[in-house]
Amino acid sequence: MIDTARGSTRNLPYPARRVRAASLAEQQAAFAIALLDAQQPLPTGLQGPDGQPSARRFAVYRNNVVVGLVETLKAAYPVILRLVGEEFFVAMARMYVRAEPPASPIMLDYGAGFPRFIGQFEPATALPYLRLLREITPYLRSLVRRWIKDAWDIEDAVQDILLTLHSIRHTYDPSRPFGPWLVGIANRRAIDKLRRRGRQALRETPLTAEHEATIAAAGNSDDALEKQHLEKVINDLPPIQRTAVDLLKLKEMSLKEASDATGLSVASLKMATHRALRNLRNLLSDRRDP
Amino acid sequence: MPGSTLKPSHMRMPKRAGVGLKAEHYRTIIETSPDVGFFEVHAENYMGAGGPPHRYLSAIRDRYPLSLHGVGLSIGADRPLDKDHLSRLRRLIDRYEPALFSEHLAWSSHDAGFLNDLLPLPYTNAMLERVAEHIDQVQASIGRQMLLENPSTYLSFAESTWSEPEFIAEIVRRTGCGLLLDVNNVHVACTNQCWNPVAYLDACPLSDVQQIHLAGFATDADEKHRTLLIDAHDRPVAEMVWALYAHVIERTGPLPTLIEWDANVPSWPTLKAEAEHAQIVMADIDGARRRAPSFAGSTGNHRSHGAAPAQSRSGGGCP
Repeated sequence: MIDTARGSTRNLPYPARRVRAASLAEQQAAFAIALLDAQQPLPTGLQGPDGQPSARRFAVYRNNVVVGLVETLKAAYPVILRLVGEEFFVAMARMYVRAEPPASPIMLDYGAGFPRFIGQFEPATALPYLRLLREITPYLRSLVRRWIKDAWDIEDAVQDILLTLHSIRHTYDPSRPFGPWLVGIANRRAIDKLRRRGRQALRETPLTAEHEATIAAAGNSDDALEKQHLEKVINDLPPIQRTAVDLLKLKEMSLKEASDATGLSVASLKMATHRALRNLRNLLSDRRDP
Repeated sequence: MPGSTLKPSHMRMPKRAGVGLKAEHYRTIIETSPDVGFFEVHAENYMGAGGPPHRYLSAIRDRYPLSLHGVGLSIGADRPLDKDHLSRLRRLIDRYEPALFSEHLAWSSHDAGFLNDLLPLPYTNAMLERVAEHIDQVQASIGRQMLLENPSTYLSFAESTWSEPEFIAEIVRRTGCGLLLDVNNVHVACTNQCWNPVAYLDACPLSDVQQIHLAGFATDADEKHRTLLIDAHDRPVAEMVWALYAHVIERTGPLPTLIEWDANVPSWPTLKAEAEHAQIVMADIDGARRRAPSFAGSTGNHRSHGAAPAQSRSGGGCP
């Protein structure tokens, strides 16, 4: 079924001619410079199958490097991406990639200098709102650090706060001081994060043989069904009861926080929760005992 | 010679199909314990400060054999290997005890920084010395054998004096490292360079292959309208690559085979189906080999796995 052509090397790349080559170090230096800067000439000694240089082929490497790094920055700075838009971000990121290519192969760490770079990037300084977010970021990080120790989670929480600020910026009343408003939001998001993290840790760490056995024993699909049903039943509640359950029980806000968030009084939230739980008990027990 | 004292690295790796582990699939894998031979991860993705990736990887490592694939060591760089990176790698290997560790025949680090791509090398005697030196250093540092992966390339160097497979064979011979044969890279490089993929495979030291990579490529063209394949890892494995894979397995028997799918990552069932495809190819060929022990590439009674590789060498615009 297969023409093996065993041993034939007729199409293998024996070069037709020898050229005096630059040292390996010089060659890789030229390659690196041409990769990062499209204005630079192509490195010499590189050829397509006809022995001639090919800009289009070299562009594949250039594109892999630059696009790969821009994508890494997009993933690391989702808020900035959303604020300035794709086109502006990519233009800015491409310049940053050229100015500060990664120092280490660990892409998770790439882009730490990007916010500072944006600070010096002329078109970006014309966006005062962006400058504001950038300037408060170190302060937010220090606030979050009071609650959260893990470096990974700190960055997550900071991004989360920035997104929250962006989405509720219209609720800020310019006649009132900015600081307390900011601190309030930051602390709330940090605590949320801490809670979620706590719950995750409870769910995730004890992965033991028994857990596997439980999963294998098909308990899993029942859980999923149960969850689906619960969500449906909650959705069927009257709006005020649904809001109360969502904020107090699912998002685990305090009564005070839920009251701040909704404008409902603490008393009416308590009443709505009470009624919601009674309804849920009825609806769920209906299902168990048909 | 370090090769003789190195622990063989393939002891705990089943000769089955595995897949690249993606964050999108962590939960599905932990919740459903799917039947796949092994998982592979990029070493550099687990060198960060911690957080969810390590928790998931530990849970998955408890249930499956693991293959660790480096993308940042820059074995082909002119400059010395990064000692910090080498110790991070050693710590990762100590922590997860992967059944296989592999890296690329490529370079990516320079004084300008880390260039985040697998860049091509000239196949010269000087380069051979440098690569062999670096592989010796890696194997001494991690205390075990590493596998070297053949590259996908878009250009070649005028000064090369070795063919790619013969260059690789010589490195394997000198260092005692194993070979990770990326069959998609063979197809991509052979199409882009107008080489014959079957001749390429037959010049490879197939008895040293300990793992295979399969992936999908994108098709483009250069300024002279010649076909230019891009190693994109963003789609299913092509028919042509399956055919070359069958050609290899007919000669080597079953091998740990990885489906690499790193961009446009599909749903879990789609990814798993690709692994099952590889599994079926191996089972078919293995069955035929057992029924006819003298079977050596002649027309066996097993079914064909695609177009015969030698027929589609042409590519657009080769001389």
